[in-house]
Amino acid sequence: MILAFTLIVTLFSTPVLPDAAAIMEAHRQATAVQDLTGQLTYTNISKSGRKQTRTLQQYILRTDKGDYTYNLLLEFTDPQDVAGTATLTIQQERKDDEQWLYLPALRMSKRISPSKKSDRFMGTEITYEDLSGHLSEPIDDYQYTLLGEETINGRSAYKLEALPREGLRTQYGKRLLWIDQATHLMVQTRFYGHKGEHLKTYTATDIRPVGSGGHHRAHQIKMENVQTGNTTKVQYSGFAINAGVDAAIFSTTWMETR
Amino acid sequence: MRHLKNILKTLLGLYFSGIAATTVAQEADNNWSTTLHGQARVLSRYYPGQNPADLYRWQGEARAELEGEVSYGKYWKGRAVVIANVNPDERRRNRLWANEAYVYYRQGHYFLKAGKQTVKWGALTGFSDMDLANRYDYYDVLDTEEERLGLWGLEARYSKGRTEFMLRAFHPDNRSRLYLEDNRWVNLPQRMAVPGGEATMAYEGTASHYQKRLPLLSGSLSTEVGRVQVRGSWLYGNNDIPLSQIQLRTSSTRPVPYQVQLHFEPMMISALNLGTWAGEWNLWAEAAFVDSKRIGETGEITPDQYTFCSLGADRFWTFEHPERHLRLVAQFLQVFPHQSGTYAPTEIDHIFQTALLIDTELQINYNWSAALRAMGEFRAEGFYLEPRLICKAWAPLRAELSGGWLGGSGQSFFGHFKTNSRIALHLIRPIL
Repeated sequence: MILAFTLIVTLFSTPVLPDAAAIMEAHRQATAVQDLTGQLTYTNISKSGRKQTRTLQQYILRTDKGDYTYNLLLEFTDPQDVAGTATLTIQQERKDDEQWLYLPALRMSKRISPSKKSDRFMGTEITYEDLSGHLSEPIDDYQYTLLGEETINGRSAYKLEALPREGLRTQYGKRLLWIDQATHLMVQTRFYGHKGEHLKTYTATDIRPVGSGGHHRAHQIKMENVQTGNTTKVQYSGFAINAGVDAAIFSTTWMETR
Repeated sequence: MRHLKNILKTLLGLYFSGIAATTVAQEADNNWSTTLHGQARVLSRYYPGQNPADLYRWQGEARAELEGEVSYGKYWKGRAVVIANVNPDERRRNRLWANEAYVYYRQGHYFLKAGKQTVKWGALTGFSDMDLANRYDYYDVLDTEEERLGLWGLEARYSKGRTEFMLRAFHPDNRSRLYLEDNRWVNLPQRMAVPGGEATMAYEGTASHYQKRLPLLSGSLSTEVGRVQVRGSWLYGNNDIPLSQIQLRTSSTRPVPYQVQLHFEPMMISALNLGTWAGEWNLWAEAAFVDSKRIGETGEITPDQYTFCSLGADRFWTFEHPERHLRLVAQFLQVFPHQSGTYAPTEIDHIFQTALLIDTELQINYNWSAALRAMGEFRAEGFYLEPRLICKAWAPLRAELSGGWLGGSGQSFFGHFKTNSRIALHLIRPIL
């Protein structure tokens, strides 16, 4: 009788985990914005301890194509030998992104060959594919399985496995994702190659509310390349979400007249 | 009143605050914001000569550059750049001046900029013939990247989608700053032939001539057709480089006094350039028609027309080593003169006739980079090699050690000035 009561109490008190698709949709909604501006400082740290630090101003605007693609403008502000350099990326659904580069020494912007998804973004350990996923997780391209719950850096998180759907061209054979239960933001990702080798680990910390729209953002992220020993640390500041960004700034004219 | 105070505060900050100035002030009404930053540079050049004692000939100077910005609301911005230059051996280089001071207005598709501004006329990854009109301080003919001089004028742009129309109108005085006396790049005549032998000559200054009512005008239209970027440009105005003629003052006195007449003649350039990519290579080309003037074989000013064509490619490589990358720019230039004759090696607008330019930089790691700039002029048979070693190990200090080796036939610019081969050390540090 006591055993039966215990069993019934246990059954009724066990929380029912949401399914993987619902978690990922909540994640996409948590990261989706109409526009975003802010400053970021990234530091690349080599295995032997050499450092390279850059500060950028970022402007992001969701395109009006009805999907999760963005216009992205990044302008270097420090150090002075790269200050003024800017890149403009127009994301395209299922096509190569369009990219332009502005170099202050040449005082001209030019269309450049689109970066491969596996190219490192501005010399960091973050690839263009990672950056794209950071702006909007490509839910339709992956099959997600909920593996359980874990605590990452003091935050309760869902642990999921993301496997690319057949035919998807990606540098990763598998990703393990940890989604924060409170904010639905990604707090950790482990990236694996096609042979199952652990490539990189992404960690997001210092999650805080941004603005009054109920958005949260990690203010510090870190990408550790397990293969090379290199690390990129990113510190964000001055976030403004859905505060309105002029669409005209996503143009070569704007880059040339800063 | 408060706005006036802000302007005064910014101007005072720009001109007098120096190294100890504050960087950012944000006003309570959020309409005004000011930023200020700057850098200090020290440049030393050594000219190794045939005489071992010449190894110690050096040319050094320090420069502080302060740059300030004032913003008012979303649409208005003002910017000023003040430069102080100190050269212990060269009094003409000791200067303090506002190289740029302009305001601009930007709203939607429109952009308007007015004031003193530095302009780069060409729009090409490599050397564009439109750049012939760029205004510089030619203290050194090779190191001009930091020597661009401001010019008073207006720039207006209208852009929609991927199409942009630009108009520029600038003050007629587009003269570059030249140093004719005691300059390694200028050989003023010392002697002249006279009946019965030679006479010494005495330089007595210059006289400049340019069309004072001819503004420097330029227009361009750029767009994208598929994956091809197309730009048509046109420029008309006074050349920044003069044609020089010697005018003897009298012939009876000895030494014979003379004045150098500098003629900044009108020039017109029309250019069409294209840019695209293939694989990971960015490809570009330009064809320009130049209608200018030069000194003819008999010493008179004559028309100089030519077509200037260039083909270029650039690419960026990354490597498995995460700190390493390589950048390469290669450009081939070919000039087609519309009249016969050869260009003298001292005609700076004609340094390149059939030439290959290479500019490459290898980042070895986050602290060290190695770079090479190479120019080969095949028709006049001259070359220039500039290897550089860049160190950022003591960031924010940036140190750059470079060599500049000019050589080849004396008929080429590079061979003619081969005694100006140098070793240079350049230190740059932000001061704000």
